[in-house]
Amino acid sequence: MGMSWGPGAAAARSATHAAIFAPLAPVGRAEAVAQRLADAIQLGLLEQGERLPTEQELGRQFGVATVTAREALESLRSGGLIETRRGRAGGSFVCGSGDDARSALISRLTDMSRVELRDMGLVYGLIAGGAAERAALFSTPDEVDSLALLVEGGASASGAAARRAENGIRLEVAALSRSARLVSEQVRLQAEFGPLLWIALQEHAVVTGNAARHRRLIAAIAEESPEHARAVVVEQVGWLVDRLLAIREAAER
Amino acid sequence: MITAAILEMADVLGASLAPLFAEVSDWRDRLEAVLSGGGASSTDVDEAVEWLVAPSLADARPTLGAGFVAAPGFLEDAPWHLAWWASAANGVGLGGRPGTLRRLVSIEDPLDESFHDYTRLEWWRGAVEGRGAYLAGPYIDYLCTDELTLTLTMPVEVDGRLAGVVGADLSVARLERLTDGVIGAAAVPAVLGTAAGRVIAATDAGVEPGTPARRLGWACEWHPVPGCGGTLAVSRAA
Repeated sequence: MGMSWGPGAAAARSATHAAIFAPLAPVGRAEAVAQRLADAIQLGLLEQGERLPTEQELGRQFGVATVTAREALESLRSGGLIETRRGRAGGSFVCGSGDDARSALISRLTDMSRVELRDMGLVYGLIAGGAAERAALFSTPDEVDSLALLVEGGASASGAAARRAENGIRLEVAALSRSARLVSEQVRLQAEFGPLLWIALQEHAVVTGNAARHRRLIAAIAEESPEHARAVVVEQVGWLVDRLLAIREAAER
Repeated sequence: MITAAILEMADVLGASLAPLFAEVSDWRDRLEAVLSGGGASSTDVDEAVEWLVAPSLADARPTLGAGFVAAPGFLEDAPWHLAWWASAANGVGLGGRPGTLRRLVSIEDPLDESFHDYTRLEWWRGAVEGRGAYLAGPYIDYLCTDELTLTLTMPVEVDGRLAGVVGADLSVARLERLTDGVIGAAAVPAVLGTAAGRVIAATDAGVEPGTPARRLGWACEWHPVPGCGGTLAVSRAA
């Protein structure tokens, strides 16, 4: 049956075309830099009391003008996430507790529509699930053991430590897929969606429920059962997205 | 007849792959000479290692990175120490970053949260516990090479004591070009694998690199590839 250049193919082509020429990041560059730093504070990658690089250094690292970096720091300062001290030992320091960053993330959460959230969760789940499916085909007992260590290390943690563990587990599983592109896609999604998804990893019940799912994933990988591994992750991400929607609901009230 | 064909394949593969192994064992010999007698500082080690490995990272060879990793406590001024260089080709691929020959940044303070105890990693344990050449992978090294990689390591021993391991990261994509001529043209179906039991290349293009050999579904009878320190072997495929 000849399907080439039917309406379906033409539509797919014009959709791809539109994606290619879509305007880059709807938010301003200063806002993008500020969001990146706020995410890192919420993730616990930048800790309280840690000194941030100078405006010049930030500009160089993010590839933006120094004034743009200054603008980003200004917005973090007004959001109470950093404070600037003068003098020889001066600079910008992380002062927002995880909770301040959390409220910033929750307001980002309420700004997004449920449709967008579900859609991001879907893609995240498919990529993470696909990685898990492949990991079940390629892992050795040694690799399963180190994955189990990571899970047990993060199982009882909450807040920033739980989020760091979550990030590490996802990347390890992606690496076990032995696909460089799956790893880089997972890294991209972690940066884009991870901070939002992990808002849910705060309550004790969610942390333990999440760890139980990780243990099921490890069992599926150890049993070399790709379908099971994929199903565990897709369910896990769907469950986290549901928790997220509940948090969003509560915040809107 | 079939065994003869497999043995011949192992010989031809050995001819193209053995130089990679000879290079690393040459680094090991020279480092053992530099370190013998003791008293070497981490700066001495860094200079010697860079001088040894930099030329191999300059061209289109499969080597993506190379260096020396010290045994904990061997160097007095640096209890944990990595002297590892990445080639210009390393990291250009998916990250899209412009690459240059550069030193790998490592956290050597055990109290730092990002510190990684490298003696727990496969490439360390394989070489040290087996007291000889070890080939780890193929695996995705997302902290360093960002691509499917094999890591070849050999123990460095000085005065009967473990000084560390010397090694190289090899790109599986680049090795494919070296092995295709042999594996691709093979008269009998065959797989090239690591001694640790992972596929590197196969005549059947459907068999992916990294697949555990035990998943292939047939009994492999492995024949070592000469000149590769016992880390590589060829088997007839079903």
